[in-house]
Amino acid sequence: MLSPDFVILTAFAYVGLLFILAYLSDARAKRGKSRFLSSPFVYTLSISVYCTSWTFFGAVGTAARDGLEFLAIYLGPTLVFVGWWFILRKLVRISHSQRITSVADLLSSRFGKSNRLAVLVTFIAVVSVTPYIALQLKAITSSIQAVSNATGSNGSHLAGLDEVRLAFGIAAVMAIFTILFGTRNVDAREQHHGVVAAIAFEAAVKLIAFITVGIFVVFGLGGGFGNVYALALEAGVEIHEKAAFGSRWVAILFLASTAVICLPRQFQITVVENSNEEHLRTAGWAFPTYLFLMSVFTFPIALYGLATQPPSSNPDMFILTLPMSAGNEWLALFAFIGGFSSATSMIIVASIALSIMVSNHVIMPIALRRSANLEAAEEHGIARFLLRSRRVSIAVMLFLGFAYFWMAGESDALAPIGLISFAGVAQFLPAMLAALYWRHATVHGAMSGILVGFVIWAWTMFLPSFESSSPLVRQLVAEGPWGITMLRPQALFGMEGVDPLVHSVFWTFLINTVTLVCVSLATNQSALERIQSTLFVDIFRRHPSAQPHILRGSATTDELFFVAERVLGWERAKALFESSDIPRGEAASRLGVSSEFITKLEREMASSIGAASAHVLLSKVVAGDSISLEEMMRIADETQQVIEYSHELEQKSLELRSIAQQLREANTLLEELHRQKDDFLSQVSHEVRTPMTSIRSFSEILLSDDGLSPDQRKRFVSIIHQESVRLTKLLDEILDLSALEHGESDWVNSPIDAEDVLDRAIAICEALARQKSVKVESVSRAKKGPVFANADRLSQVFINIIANAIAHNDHPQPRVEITSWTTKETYVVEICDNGPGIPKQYRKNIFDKFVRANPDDASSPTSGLGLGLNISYNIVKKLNGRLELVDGRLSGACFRITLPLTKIELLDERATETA
Amino acid sequence: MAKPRPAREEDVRRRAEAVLVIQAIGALLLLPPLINLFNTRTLLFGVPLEVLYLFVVWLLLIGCSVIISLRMPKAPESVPVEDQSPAPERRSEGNGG
Repeated sequence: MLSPDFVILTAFAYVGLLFILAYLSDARAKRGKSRFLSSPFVYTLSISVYCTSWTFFGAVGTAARDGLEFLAIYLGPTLVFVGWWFILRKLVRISHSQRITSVADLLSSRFGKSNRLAVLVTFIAVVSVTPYIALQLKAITSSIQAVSNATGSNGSHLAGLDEVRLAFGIAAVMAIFTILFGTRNVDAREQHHGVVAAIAFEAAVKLIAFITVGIFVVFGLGGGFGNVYALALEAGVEIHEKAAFGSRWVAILFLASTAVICLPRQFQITVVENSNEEHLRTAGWAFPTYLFLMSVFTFPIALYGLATQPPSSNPDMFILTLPMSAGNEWLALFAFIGGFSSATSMIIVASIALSIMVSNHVIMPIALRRSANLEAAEEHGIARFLLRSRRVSIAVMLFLGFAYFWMAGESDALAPIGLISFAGVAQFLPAMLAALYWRHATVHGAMSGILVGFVIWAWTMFLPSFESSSPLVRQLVAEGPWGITMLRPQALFGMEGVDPLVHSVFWTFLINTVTLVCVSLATNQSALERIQSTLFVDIFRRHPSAQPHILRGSATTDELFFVAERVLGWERAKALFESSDIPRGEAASRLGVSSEFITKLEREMASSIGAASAHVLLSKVVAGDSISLEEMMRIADETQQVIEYSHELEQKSLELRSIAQQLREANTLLEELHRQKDDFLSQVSHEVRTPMTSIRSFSEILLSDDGLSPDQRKRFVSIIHQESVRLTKLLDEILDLSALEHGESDWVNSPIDAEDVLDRAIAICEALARQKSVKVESVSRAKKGPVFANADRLSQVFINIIANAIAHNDHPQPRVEITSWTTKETYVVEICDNGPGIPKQYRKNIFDKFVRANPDDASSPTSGLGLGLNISYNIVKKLNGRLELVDGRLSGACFRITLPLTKIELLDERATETA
Repeated sequence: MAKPRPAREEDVRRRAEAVLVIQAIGALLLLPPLINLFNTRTLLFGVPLEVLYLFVVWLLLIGCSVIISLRMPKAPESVPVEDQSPAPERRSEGNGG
């Protein structure tokens, strides 16, 4: 039998070893030789702080009492770590980029750097974790008693220590250790190398201890796995599950998965102490493997214990009592050290995590608000204050744990505290998932969700844990407050007959999540929340440099350096300023600083004092003459509106521009038409004036001069006649034109043979041709040209063109060639001459009014009026045909008339001919 | 920056989906009703079947996690780059107090 003195001294020696280890690791890290310390395996081992004494001793006890239920505690984290690529990686990435220091900081930072939320989270964490620390103290004292059988050994003075003093001593030593190695510096983002090394060492110790005991029991005593089960079966121990895996299994699996993310100590080790995201890659499989190894022997040990130990023995201590009853006290001592490691590592990390939360989110904001001269303190003033508050928090936290142990230690209120604690911190999960994945979650939603979840947890789970020690609570659980049975803690709203754990997990999570979602939907995000939510949710999408600038850069370098120095210390502040090329000193004392730098500084400071405090502190300096964030967002909103408005305007003006363009075109057309009309009028007047002048002058001569010879008289009269004929012809043509342009009432189309019309036109021009000795020949002709047209009008076109070809031909051997043919759908006539042709400049507008190919001979009697071709053109157009100037076979002009063939039979041919 | 990106991104997306599927299947195997199919009060190699089943599923999950860890791409900037000032300047400070 080991003496209590010896056991206690061993424990203290072990703690001494931890001190040395931590000290050496810190020293190594300081010299920059921390390669091994920051390896992924050390990281994985330190995550195993998850396995506390509750799992080291308690798992065997749970296995003995409830079968395989203990496995759910390990399988939950396994599932989370297998999926490290999602939640864990995102958490680590965000925490690195935002310099997150704790769970409370994460939630506060995401939800608009709200300090109230951080305080709430801190409070819940303290309430749920402090009993857990008490549980560790309890495990240590009971294991010391178990391994030394301390009852009644009076030989040594150490044995005189009762349980309470022992626990106090342990708490005190742990406090010293944690304060020494856990608060060496204020930057929570900096690795606590000493602590991590100690935790990793402890993780290795507890694993080796447990496996050693397991191998000893299963193979040494039991003779292999199969034999242990057979032995248990023989002794009448139930080796199978008592019932089907049900809701309790599911609830525990769920709680364990949540706890490995939400427990402050897990967050501290997994996320905050993570120095490299890549370490998760190893931890993703190594941590589940650790848990696997940790639980392989648990069930067989429990069964072997149940089969061989007296029924009165405590199954929680089988891991110690089994080696002892086999006479292997050294192994028992080793197992005790294993359990001791798991307890101390939990105490150390949990108190560090809690102290960071308490100092950053409770003490610091109060100090910032209360004392005006905090910034005016000397270098490191804030940092020093923070460290001091952190140390005090650690001491207070451990004392609280001890006090809880002191008061509740004798009752069995401590036993279920592991799961109760899990369920307490699990209330952060909905808000945490919302923080990572739901952009529109608001701080009000997160606050109310967590608060409601916490209240229900306290009512349905925490309170009933005092049932055995307090008659008042017992009555409350049995009858409900004021006899309201609907509010009984373990049968809320009448939900009876459910396992209390399942009952509580169901209600807390249901109401927590529903509240979070509903309140978030009903409330609005502040500007800062909106910015932070994008930073969190889109962490993998966003370019790292695309950080919004929350504080406008209007503070001067000196002011900023002053604040930075208070928090970070002169050396780090200087390094930070120099790395960003921010000049300091006399010359630059009044210079402004870029908002990028302020953002960077805020983040750097957040890693020491938390996001909310850093924001408040910097705002104090910067906000003096800078705009508030809301204002900035409002301006941004206004800018956005102005942009939209101007976009609208732009659209409008574009429309206007296109309308103006149309108008301009219309106007040009109108002007052109107006000009044409003017031209036409002046042309007409001119054309009318010439014959009128000669008629007038000749008639005046005839009137005034009586001595004219009859011959002369006759000649003058004939001139007058000739001119008036020309005048009539002109007026006829104008009338004709106007009729064509404005539509003619007596224009009737009928199916005719265009060949006949052409023949007639040629015959009519025969006289003119003979007079000018022009040879008119039909080169090749179509047999028939059935078109739907007005024969008189078509004939007018042919005559006009043939007459023109004859009249303007000044070739020595003038010739006009007429060709016609039909294609599938058209009838085509070409009339070509070997005259001078149409000069290039007139080719385009030869069909316009009053355009003559040769304007010089306008006054000559042979020249036309310049209306003929225009009339012809309009007629052909009206017949749905085309009149074009083409390059013909002869040297002169060549006009082509194209008309569509008609399908109607020429029934009325005869009638048309006679018409 | 963006060289043979598209193909790789596609790969990453597929693998990430595979991780989700593995996680979901793992959870499914560990939850009722599937788990109760093996809770039949039988012994296999002298060990209760449900115990063997849970540990086998566990080993499979660990195996999958090893594969995931090997095949997921490296983080583009595995260390938060921006302002990790050199180590010597960030030594622990402020022990007084």
